[in-house]
Amino acid sequence: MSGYFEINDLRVGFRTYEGEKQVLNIEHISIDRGETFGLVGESGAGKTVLALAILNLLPAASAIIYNGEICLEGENLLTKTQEEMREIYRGKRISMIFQDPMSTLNPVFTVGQQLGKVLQHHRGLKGKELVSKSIDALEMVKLPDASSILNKYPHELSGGQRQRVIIAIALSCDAEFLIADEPTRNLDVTIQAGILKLIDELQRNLNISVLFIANNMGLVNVTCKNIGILYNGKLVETGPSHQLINHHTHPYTEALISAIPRSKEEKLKFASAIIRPEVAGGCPYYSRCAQAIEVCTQKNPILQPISGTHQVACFLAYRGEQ
Amino acid sequence: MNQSLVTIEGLVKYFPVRSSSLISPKKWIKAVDGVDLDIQAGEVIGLVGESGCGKTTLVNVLLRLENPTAGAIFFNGLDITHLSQKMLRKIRKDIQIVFQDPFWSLNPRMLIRDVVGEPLIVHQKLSGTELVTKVEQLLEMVGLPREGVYKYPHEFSGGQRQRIAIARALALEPKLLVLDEPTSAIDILSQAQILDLLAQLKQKFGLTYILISHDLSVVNYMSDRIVVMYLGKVVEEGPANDVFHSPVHPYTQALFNAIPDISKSCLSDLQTLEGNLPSAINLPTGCRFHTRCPKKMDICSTLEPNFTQVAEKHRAACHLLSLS
Repeated sequence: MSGYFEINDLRVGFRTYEGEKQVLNIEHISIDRGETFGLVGESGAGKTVLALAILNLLPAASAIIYNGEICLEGENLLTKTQEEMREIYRGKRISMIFQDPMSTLNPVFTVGQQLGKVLQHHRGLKGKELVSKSIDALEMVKLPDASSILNKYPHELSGGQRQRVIIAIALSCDAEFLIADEPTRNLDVTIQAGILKLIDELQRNLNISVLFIANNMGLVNVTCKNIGILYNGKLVETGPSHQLINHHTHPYTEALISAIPRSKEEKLKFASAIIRPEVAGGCPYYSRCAQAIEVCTQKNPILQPISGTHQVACFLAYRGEQ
Repeated sequence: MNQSLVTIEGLVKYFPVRSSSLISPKKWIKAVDGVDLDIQAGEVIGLVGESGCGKTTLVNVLLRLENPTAGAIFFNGLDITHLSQKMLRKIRKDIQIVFQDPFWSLNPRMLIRDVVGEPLIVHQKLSGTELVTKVEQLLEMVGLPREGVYKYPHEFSGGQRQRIAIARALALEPKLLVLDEPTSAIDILSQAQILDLLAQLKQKFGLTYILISHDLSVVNYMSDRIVVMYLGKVVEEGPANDVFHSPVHPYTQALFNAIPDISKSCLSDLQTLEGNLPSAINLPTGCRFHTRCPKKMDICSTLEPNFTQVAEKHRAACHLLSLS
């Protein structure tokens, strides 16, 4: 059985001066049509590398894809040429919202020019039609007074407005799969709530799938049905969001949740204070894990189901099962 | 009576706007528009508000990095509002700041010895091995290895760099430490460690903190008192627990209800505010928040509300409070 969007056994690495280094090793991710999947991890975990791999935008000179497949409706994106990616997928069927709304838009072009470029390229629109479609796209993201915003430069817009423009550009060609890479980073909480609601509403109305990348459990909890926790390029726990918040089993997920400050009375716990030397071939989290046992140094645990779709890669969890 | 460490009275800071014509009236950005604040020694003040509400300007004026337009600032009983730069230098060793982004605040071409040691060279004229020993002690205090002395900033991770910035700020044993979004640029696990370190250092040296953050859970965790600002004015202030658990100003309520927390299970639990922050050049008439307030009344657009005391030390400026 193959789902709408699937990643199987994906391994990506980079060539460095110190030799090749594997940065991503994902056994399996599957996202249904119309579903929001949250990917959580610290900086350097490989979240953005995954996003770029899906779009086939990894730097060809230094990135190596060892094996694996990224399938959209059964078509393996990794075997497509750059030409095919550009014409059929990137910006059209798959779109991405980048991290920083302040630097994603080009400061020397107006909103209308940047939005128009996408519509022109993928749909061949011109003249009046182009303007009216551009206005439609801006109205879709609830920007008031859309026709005047078309003639504005990015610096004339606030952070929240810019992010709305970026979402409009991403969805202007009826994308069906959206990658949102920390879309609300650097935005105020009140603005953030608005952007989250907008993405959610568009996703429902247009029936698109969203890969929502975040570094915060609270964010994915309110937006996503399923969550995956990425540590050092490896998916360590995945499952329905309420299950992961309330019944997480991986020590890293536990650390991520208990590091959120709650109240003065509750002291912060952080398992990451422990640092041991890394062991080749062992569990990647071993060096920081508070509950490590002997087998953790010998084998790298693989994702195994605990209950339903809840899977975890940790020997402690398997032991609890037996 | 308890001696206040910092007292701010009616502080105003306007920035001029370059106008297009010579005869048009001069316009001003009203960044900070009449703020009173009293900080006791040993207290942690949490300063919250959206970007553009004047938090950073307030702190810059307090540090005298900007000169105030009006109002007075007292530090340790001394009026520093119009102190000369020469005199200020002596005061500055008691007031230090940790900036938001540790990737920008450390000079990439300086060794950690020089980054952390610079205040010691300037103020205490240390040099040679004496300086190195002192820097090593400071690094150890913030939980970094002594070997870090001869490294460059790029060799450290975000959390470690923030520790270096804290070591630099504490080099001269200040009384007041301003933390301008100290954890917004680093990961959640490093954040927990930095917050813990800051709490320990406060205990150890009896420091006073002004914590600026837009992460309200961090503010609640760290602060004794929370001050909420909106468009250059304080709208609510009070003990952290009161403000966090029973906010009375509609803006504070909106701010707290917008946090996506793991206790909230769906998006409809989040409150959103309509519209953007109004321009600080043409401030709204009456209550500054009335353009976005979900509980707006007729009086709000004409009359600016005064502070109402809601509980001991807890006050807010809103017409809703004077009604009941």
